[in-house]
Amino acid sequence: MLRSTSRRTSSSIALLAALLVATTATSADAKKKDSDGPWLKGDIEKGQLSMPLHRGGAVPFELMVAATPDNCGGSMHLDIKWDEDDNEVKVKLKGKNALEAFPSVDRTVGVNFEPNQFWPDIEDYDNGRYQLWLFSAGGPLLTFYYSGETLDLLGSELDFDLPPAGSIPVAFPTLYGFATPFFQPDGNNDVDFEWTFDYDKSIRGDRADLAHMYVTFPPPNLCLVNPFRLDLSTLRPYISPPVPAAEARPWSDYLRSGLLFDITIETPEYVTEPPRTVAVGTYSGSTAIGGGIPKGWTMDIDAAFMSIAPPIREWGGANECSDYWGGVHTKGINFCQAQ
Amino acid sequence: MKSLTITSIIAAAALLTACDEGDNTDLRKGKPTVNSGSYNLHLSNKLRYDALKPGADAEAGRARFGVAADLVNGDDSGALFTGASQVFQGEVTSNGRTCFSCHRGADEDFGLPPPPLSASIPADDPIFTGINADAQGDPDASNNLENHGLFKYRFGRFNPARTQDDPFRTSFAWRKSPTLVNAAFNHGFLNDGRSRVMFETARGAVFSHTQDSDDRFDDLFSNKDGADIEAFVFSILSDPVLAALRDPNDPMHDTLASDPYYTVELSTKAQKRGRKVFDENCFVCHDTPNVFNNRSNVEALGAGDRPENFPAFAPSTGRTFNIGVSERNKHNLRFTQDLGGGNFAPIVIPLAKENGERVDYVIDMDIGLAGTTARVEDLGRFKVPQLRNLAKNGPYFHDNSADTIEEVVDYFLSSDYKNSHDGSKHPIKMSAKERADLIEFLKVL
Repeated sequence: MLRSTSRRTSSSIALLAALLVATTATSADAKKKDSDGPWLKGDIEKGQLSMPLHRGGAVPFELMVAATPDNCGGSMHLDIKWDEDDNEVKVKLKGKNALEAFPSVDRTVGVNFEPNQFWPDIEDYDNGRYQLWLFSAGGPLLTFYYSGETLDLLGSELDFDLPPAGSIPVAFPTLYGFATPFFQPDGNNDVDFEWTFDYDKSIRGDRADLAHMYVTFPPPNLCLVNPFRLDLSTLRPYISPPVPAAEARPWSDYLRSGLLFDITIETPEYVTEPPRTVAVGTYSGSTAIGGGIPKGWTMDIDAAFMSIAPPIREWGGANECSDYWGGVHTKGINFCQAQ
Repeated sequence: MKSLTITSIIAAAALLTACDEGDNTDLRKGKPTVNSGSYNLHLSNKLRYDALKPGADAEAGRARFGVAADLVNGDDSGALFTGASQVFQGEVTSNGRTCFSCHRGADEDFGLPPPPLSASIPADDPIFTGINADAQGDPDASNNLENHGLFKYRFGRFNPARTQDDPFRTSFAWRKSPTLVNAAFNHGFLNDGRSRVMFETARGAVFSHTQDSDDRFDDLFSNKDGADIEAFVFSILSDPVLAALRDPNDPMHDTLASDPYYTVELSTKAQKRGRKVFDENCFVCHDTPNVFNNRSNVEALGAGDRPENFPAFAPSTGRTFNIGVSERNKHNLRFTQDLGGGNFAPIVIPLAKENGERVDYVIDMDIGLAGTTARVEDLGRFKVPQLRNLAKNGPYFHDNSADTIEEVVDYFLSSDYKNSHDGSKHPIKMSAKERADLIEFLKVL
């Protein structure tokens, strides 16, 4: 039965033994108190999430995953505890040789950067600062407007007070998220960051006047999307301006929806006002996929969007330590011309 | 021409979905939920079911299902999925199968009769004549269907984002057609729970069993079809009072939720003793009151802003277990790829361990939920079935490898179970008297 071979282990016998452990549980396995994957205890009102974050765990289209110290061998772990009665959510982020302080980001258009009017960003910058983003994997539908003439994307309902004349409205599902305050690792590249926020208001740690932003991946032109074949469609990132703090959602909304996490390298000054986020990430993870995302694997966004299995794939950047860019999600197919 | 295409694109764009659902309630408060395999981080043991879709019409669903108003005979007049499909890029032709072909009405509890199937189903029935839809030329398919009541399923057959030779598309298993009585109480559908909602389940069955191609035709299976079929299937109950379990506003809901055996009528001492044996040995997994499947599930979003047809990212919505039935492989089923001409090749599927290590697993058993989640820890895992009406639900297990309730009970007392991944965590011992009492109890469920 277990005639397995492994690409990563030198001995098939060792693998066989490992797999035997996996498929024929032992009492030691049953007593295991922690795991390599994430775990959770408690409930919506009071609980704890413990989750390792890995490079490449969740890589949205056009996000650059930066190389990290120790030949990308560092580790990062996230703990979140919440208590509704105390109106408190505590975030702890610990990393060992995980991040370089005040990093520089050097991107090249067409290589690992593609300007996008719907995601304002700058190509290069020094003295970067880190921020942990906490995203809900289940946001509301957001209406986008497309030109009735060219079918180009014009923007969303958050960009216009009224629908543009002659536009075609199309609703897309969203993610929404907010961020911690900025932080830096110490001289050893270690991270020991803590932050507490109110359970009833998930407000940005760097800007007390702002809460979440919406993120989604609409087609830039309606002729470039096939709703049944997102894998063949051109989809690009969109990020909304952040909503005012008064519209902040309670932490319970994030818990109910499943979570996505990413540690970004932000610019030393905000790119826009109000500020959004850049498309440069490091460590990420998600509770939205059962079992989380193992190290070296990534959420298969096409599969997730199309509701097909499996929802994870091996991550293309896992076996080398360099800046990784998944590219623009396009096959260059014009579905209007195709028919 | 262009405007027609654009219109269809815009209309269908609303179907773009990407989301998740969940709540963070632990099964055992205070203890960490050690994550393993696909177990969702948001598993809850609350008794909770999604409501039927607004406007869902069970009677329309019955017609789409392909069973006549008497619920006994087939009626395919409104049940064939055929016609021009933009997604399919052509004309879809049906092999004549309907849902009824494999879920044969009330006389069979909306499952199949015991094998051999030809003893009770005529040779010209679409279940036989349409076999190539799922078998696709596999030389074992006819025998496995006729003598074991098993169909060939390729887990990722309709995944267009993977190439045709990807092991997640070529891997397969031989599975039974489960009875649909009390399917309303499932958390996760199909034998391994890989399907999250009935819509996915019914649509996948139509794709898989009614035509031979590997191409999808989503536009022939409408949201209304899915909602109506769900409403019909969820109306098939072993006892009407059980419907209260799905509705917190039903006056009987709290009674049924708090008294696990409220609807179980026991008349003999042996049955009553058997209930105690069940309570001590079986209820830990079969813990949904009065229907006895596993209640672990994912709670939907509470904010009310989630579109109703939003799927979760992950396939599993309920708790699944490996109790060793796959490893036993009683029918000696083959899991290698048919190359034609009597040649077969092993299928090697890349799976992830919790620590991220890749395991190239050579498939020679039913890999269970792992074929959908790509996780080593899900090898051989299957859903906990509901147990009401059990005496009429045989043969049992995902591979129909136990003909009687006695065989099922004996399996849980066997070394196959004791040495299995999850059986070893929950060994079961009982005396001969307790065994006999348990069987008496199970027979009256």
